[in-house]
Formats: sequence, C-alpha cells, structure tokens
Amino acid sequence: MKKLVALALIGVMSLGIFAGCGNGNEKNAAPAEQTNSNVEENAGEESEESGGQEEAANDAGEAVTISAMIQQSRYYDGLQAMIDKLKEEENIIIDVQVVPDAESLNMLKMKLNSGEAPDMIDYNIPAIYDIVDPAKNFADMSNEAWVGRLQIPDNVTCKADGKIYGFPFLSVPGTHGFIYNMEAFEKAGIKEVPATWAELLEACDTLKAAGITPIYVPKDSWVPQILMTDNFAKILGADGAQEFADKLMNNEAKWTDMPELAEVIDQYLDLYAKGYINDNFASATYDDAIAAVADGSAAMHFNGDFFAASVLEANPDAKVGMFAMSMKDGVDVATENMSSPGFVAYKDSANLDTVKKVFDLWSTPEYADLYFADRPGFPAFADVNGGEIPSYLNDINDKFIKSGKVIPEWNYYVMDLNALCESSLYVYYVDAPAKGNMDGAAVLEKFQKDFEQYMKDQGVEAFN
Amino acid sequence: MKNKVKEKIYPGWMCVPALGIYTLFYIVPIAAAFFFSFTDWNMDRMNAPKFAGLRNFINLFGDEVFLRSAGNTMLFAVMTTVLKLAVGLALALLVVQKFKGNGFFRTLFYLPCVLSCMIIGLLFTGILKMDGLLNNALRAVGMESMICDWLGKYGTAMFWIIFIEVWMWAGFNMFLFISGLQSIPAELYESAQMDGASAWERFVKITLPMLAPSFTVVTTLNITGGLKVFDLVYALTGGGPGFDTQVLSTYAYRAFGLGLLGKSSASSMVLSVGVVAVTFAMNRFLRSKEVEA
Repeated sequence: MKKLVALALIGVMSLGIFAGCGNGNEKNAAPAEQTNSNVEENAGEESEESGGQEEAANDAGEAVTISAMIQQSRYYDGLQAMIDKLKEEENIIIDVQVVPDAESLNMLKMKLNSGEAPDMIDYNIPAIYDIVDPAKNFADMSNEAWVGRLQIPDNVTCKADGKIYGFPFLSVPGTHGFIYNMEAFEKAGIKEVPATWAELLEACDTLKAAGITPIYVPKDSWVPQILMTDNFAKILGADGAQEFADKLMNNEAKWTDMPELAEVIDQYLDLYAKGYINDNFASATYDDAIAAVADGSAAMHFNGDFFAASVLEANPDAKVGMFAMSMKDGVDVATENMSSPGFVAYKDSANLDTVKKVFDLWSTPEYADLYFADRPGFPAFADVNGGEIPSYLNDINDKFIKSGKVIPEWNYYVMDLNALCESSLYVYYVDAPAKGNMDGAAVLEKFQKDFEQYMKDQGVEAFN
Repeated sequence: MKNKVKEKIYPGWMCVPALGIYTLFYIVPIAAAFFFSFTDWNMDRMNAPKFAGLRNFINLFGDEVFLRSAGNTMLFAVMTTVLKLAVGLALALLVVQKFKGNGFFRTLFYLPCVLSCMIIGLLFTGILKMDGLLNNALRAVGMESMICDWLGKYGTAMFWIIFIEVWMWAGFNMFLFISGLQSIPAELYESAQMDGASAWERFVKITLPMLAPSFTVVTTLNITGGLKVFDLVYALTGGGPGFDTQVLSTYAYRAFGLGLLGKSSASSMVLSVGVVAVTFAMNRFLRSKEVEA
C-alpha cells in the first residue's frame, strides 16, 4: 500500500512539474540586445515570443492568427498601422515576434532547420536568397497577382531559378552618402556641398574650427563599415566587384590582393587621425548619432538615406541634406543597399493562403501608403504613394537614381560573409582607430586569416 | 532484510522527479555540448555535424581573441572576488553591530543584487556615456580634466565593469559574513579581551579564523560567478571597445552568433572545465583552513 502511495505521489509530482512548463500559450521573455536599431542601445530590452497558437479560420470569417518574425529596427509605425488595419478590416491577426537585428539570421536558420519557422519572416529581399535556400524554405510567389505590379521585379527575382520568393516594400532600397545638417554647414560658413574627397576634408577642417564635430560615428560596428562597402564597390566597379568577390569565395584571391581596398581603409582612418570624428566613437550609440546630427552638434554622418528619415523623426525642424561622395575622384556613381525590407512566406506554413492574402492586401495603395506615411521612399508597387521624395534625396535622385548611375554596395557581392564580417572585419574598423595599431593593409591581413579559418570551419571545399 | 533495503531506497524515490529534471535540463545539454565540441556542427548543417577531433580546441587556443577573453575572465574573477570579499566583510562588520537603523542599512546594501544585470547595465551605460551623469557631474564641480569616454577605453571600461560587479554583489556577501559573524561565540572575544588582546588582534586571531567557512562559501561563489560572467559585460560594453572587454562567455556567444555551434560548444566546454577545476581546487584549499570553535 505504502509503495503504491509513494509511486502515485511521484507520478503526480512529475506531472505537476511538467504541466507547469508545458503551457503552449505562455509568453516567455528572454534577454535581448538591440544592435542596428533606431532606439538607444538597450541591453535590458526583452523580446516576446508568441506561443505560436493559431486560431483556425472557418467559413464564417472568424479571426485568423498568423505569426511573423520582424527585426527590431524595422518594426516601423507604418508597418504596425498595416498590421492594425488587417486586424480591423480582415480579422487577420499578425502575432509579431520582434527579434534583435543581430540575432535575426541565426534565429531564422534555427527555426527553419527545426521546422518551426513563423508564417511570415521579415528580411532583406533578395539578400535572403543568398543566405538560405529559397526554393527549399520559402513559398514561390511568382504567380501572385501583385507581382505584375512590381516596378522593378528583377530586384526580387532569385537569380538561380528566376522565381520570386519575397514581398518587398521598396523598389529603390537605399542609397549611401553623407547626411548633413544644413544649419551646421551654414554656421561654419560652408556654402557649397563638397564635391570631392579633398573638398570634404577641407569642409571638415572648417567645421572643426567652428567647434562642430565634422563627422559622427557610433560604436555600432555596422555603421563605420558603410563607408568601406560604398567605396570598395565604387573603386572596383560593379563588374570588377563581382569578379573579385567570386575569386575570394573560391580561394583564388586574397583580400590583400587589392591594395586599393587598403587605401580606402587608410583614408577612413585618416579621418580619425585628423580629429574629424567624435571623441567617443568607441562608446557612442546609433541613437547618439541621430541626436547629434539632429541638433547640429555634429555636421555629417555617412549612412543609407534611412538615417536622414530618422534624424527628421528626432527633430522635424532639422534641415537635412544628403550628398554622395567617393574617395576616388572621377567616380560618378552612388551605391545602394540592394535589398529592400520585405517578407518571405514559410513554405510549410499552415496559414500560407492567409499569408498570400496579406501580401495581396499589402500591395494595394490602401495598405502600402501607410508604410510610407512617416518614412517616404520609393515604393515597390506602381500605384502606391511613396510620399513626396524627401528633399534630402533630391540631389542624389537627380544626379544618380534617375539616370541609373547606382551600383550595388560591396557587401552585396559577399553576402555569405555577413555574419563573419559583423563579428570581425567591422569590429576592426572600430578597433583600428581606437588603438591606432593597424593600417588598412594590417586590417585586411588580419581579416584574411579570419576569413580563411571561417571558410574552413564552414567546410568550403576550396579552403580545405 | 528486505524491509530495511526498501526503507533505505524509499527516500531515493522522492528524488526521482528532481533528478529527472536536473538530468534533462543540465546533464543532457552538457553531455550534448561535450559531444558537439568535437564536431564541425554549424548553423548551415544543423542535422549533419561531422566529427572534427580536437580541431575546435586547437583553433580556440590559437585565436588571440579567445586568449584575450580568457585573460579578461581571470582578471575579472580574481579582482571581483577579492574586492567583494573585502567590501562584503567590511560592511558585515559595520552592520552586525547593534544600532538603530542597522536593518535599514542591511537592506540598502543588499538591494543592488536583486536588480537585473541588464537593467543595471542600461543604467550605468547612461551614467558613463560621454554626455552622461558622471561627466556632467564632474563638469559641474569643475573637474573637467577627469572627463573621459569611460566605456570607450579598455582600462576604464574594465574598471567600471569590476566596480559595478562589486557594487552589485558586496551586499550579498555581507549577509553571508553576517551569518558567519553571528555564529562566533561571544565568549571567545570576552576571554581575549580579558587577556588584553587589542581589537585588531581579536579580529586577526579570532574573527578571521572563525570566518573560514564563510570565506569558503563566499570565495567559491564569487570565483564561480566571476568566471561565468556574461550579462554585465554584454550589457555595458558588448565585449568592446573592439574585443577589449570580451570574456569567455561573450566569446562563446559570438561564436554562436557566427553559426559555429561546434566552436561555441568547445569554448563553453573550456569555460566549464576551468570553472570546475578552479572551484574544486579553491574549495579544497579553503576547507583545509577551516577552524572549529
């Protein structure tokens, strides 16, 4: 009898413990870090994970819940407005799982590998095609009605099989250049925007003498590298960049084989040596950069044009302009981030029809206009109002975008190395000026070793 | 005889659920990590890891960032243990005395350790930034020469990480020492006083030896915690500037971020073995020094 009682007690205790842990609807919080986000770097922020429970739709139009994984820095107000509208008008609830940008790729790969991917996944299109096998993981959208209304369908077409797997928001994702505070320039007496690198350095001298930080660089390692990815592409040219990238990935060339790349890094380091960069570049955050340019304490910042939108959000009265700049004279192109923010649909989603319906609705002006309400841009769809072309983009639009003088940034050609670069090369770009112990050639030599080791660890044949 | 055997194993049955959970959530993951540390397991080949022998470990010890992380971890563990011990003991000696309000002070000193590390990291990031509270305060009192980018340089960043850790946990150690102090028989102090021993002599000859068990507990806990530090470093500096304040846990996390799960497992194994070895050695040494009243 005692034995039976004891066994029963053990069984009940075990069940009780596991029952408490096994509630599928419970929201679990996990520590997370913001990296390339629009808010101040906050290591205490938590991301919520949904339990993944979906209510089944029936013919009577009951609520349908689908899950979506969205990167923290891209959870814009406009996107939230679209999600809210879906809920109000279509009874489609999007259960948003916000993830830190730096961890989104790993989380995506883990969820795809474990068969537990959310129904919709936010990532850059078509960048994601080079990172994860799209045919194996994502639903083919080539025959969807909205594809016919894309302004530049080639931008989201997978080169390997000619199919479209992603739903983009933008047709021209983002050009790179110096975003500058016009009032800071006026205060320093600079009347003309620099047209060459030498003129830029002169302008920096003038700004420094006027007590204004010429260029603001935060510690977030994804920011300083933009100057390099921009200039590497300009110096190599689109064809040259593709060719060199292919050789690198096949172990037929080394990063140190192109001295021009080291020269770009040297010119970048020179900005620090001359005192044109804020003193606290090793600890300042991305939000500090936005605030500094917004209030005019810093004159310039090099980034994608989305930075200007963030400055205007921080200070709507700020007068902001943008100009493209090349370290090498005579280069008459701008670079762009080739990927648009957008969504892909998980191929094995139980709610694929609903996801397709969402994409269909989101492609219409009624929804898509909401996306651009606070962040004007170049919409992916012909009939969508992307808002007035921001004034800060006028110059770049006239000189480069309209005439097609835009080429992909260097990172586009080495997309597979994204994770490695974020954890090593981009960090060297911050470390080198902080310690003053590496020039451009030394940075690339060090990275070459990391690159070779990484490729060996990944099992790439050409490196083993 | 049979009943005696049954009586002996009867309590063991009660441990089954706890052991089961411990095995499932601790032993199994540790065993899995040990296994995967010898493979080339990575994010792109989640279901097909290949045996790689000692390659991960050889690469680790050839990686200067790993070696730097190990150095920082040892520095952090030793410095914080020594300082938390000293400050905790000092606070305990103060508040163990009977005076009005000592309960309030005990609570005050203990409070930081109940706060989340991430929250504290956020708080101090705001205080220590270039235009943060500390620099503004220095400016206000005319000490502009001391203003600097506290988290932007290795020396000052590491100093603040250690300082904040001590600030957080000295109160916890204080309570451990208080319980130790309260267990020392008062007669020992009385006899020593009668024999003419000074306050310092009583402290050195009675208090310290009798606190040996508390020292064992405090030192073991602090060394272990120091070697495993992650959240405070991650919150304050993210391992930066550059890789300057990387510790072993943030290094393992970085390897995980690269998708190199085998390498990440290997660095976690190195950390685990290090922690176990140091903890056992320290525990053994300190227990040999314990004195019974």
